[in-house]
Amino acid sequence: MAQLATYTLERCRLWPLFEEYLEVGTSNDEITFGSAITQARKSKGMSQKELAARIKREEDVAISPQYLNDIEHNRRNPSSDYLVVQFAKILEIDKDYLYYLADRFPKDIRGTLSEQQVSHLMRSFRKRPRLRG
Amino acid sequence: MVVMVPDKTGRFLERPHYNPRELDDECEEIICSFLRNQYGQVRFPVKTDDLTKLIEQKGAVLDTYADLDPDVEGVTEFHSNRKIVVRISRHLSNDARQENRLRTTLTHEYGHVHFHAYLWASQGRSLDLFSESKEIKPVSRCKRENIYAAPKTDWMEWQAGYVCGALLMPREYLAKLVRSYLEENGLYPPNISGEHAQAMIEKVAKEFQVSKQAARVRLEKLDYLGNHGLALSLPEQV
Repeated sequence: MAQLATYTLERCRLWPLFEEYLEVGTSNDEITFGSAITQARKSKGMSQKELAARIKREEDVAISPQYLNDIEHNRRNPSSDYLVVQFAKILEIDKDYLYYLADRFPKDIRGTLSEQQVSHLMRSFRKRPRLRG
Repeated sequence: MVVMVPDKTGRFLERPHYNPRELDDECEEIICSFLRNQYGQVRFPVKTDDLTKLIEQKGAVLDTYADLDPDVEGVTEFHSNRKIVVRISRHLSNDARQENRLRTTLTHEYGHVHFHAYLWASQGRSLDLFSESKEIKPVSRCKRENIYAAPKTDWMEWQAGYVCGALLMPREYLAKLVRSYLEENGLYPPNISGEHAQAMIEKVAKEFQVSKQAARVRLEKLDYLGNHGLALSLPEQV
């Protein structure tokens, strides 16, 4: 047991290097729809299978774990606004943020803005407004 | 005691040499702690879904529906600028008949993440293993035949293969099962080719939800299956 303790100490000594390596590994990653829902899922201690079972399509059928896996790995996008809202609700993420990550405009905005309004809003986005509070 | 020895495969300057008992002890601690955290108790078989959580808890990115070569069931990739990536063949994940194989593959790749990832961090930097000009790539491609019974010539695959069995069939819990079977049947010991050996293999396979082949390999590695009716020593009492 003492020998195992010595071995564990050695591993622990090297672990900070590994954690630093993991941090380096993540700091440059772009946030995508897939990565955002993956991170949220993991923070809730859920497996892909568990989350997939809770995300329902409009016809009240759960999505498949494979479909969820493809979304998480950016091989597919959520196929409808309904699914985006489902993810937001189950994972407790702001749905507008998920719409942004999914390259979608929310339904209530889509098609309601003029060209000038869109240009103005995009300029505002590019200025990256500072948050108050 | 774990010792560092020269790595003849050339991946690293040195590599860890584990006594099988050390791997058993650590794996048992890993899986039992996980199960207690999840369920408040240790119970087997470990769910397949829980094995995915185990990998993700190590910070790895897990892709369980990856498009891999036909003879490759799992891949673990160590990247310099991204998280560790574990890829599992989608053919395994999609085929309910291959669930046991999926389980052994998941635990095998977990073995690489837990026992080998730190080596790339500690030695990879000094050796610049992530340089594109180097021939050695930080990737383990795990083929079907090496998932739980790799030859000792490849220490990384052998260790991950051993871990596979040690996580799914922890040593002391397996010992209890074997002991109860022997006591129920008034045996000491079973013969490898005998009916009782077969019955024990089936019992282990069922209890821990593994294939009969994986159960047999594990029982052989722990010296429970003897030859020609020779006496076997049982592990110390729990």
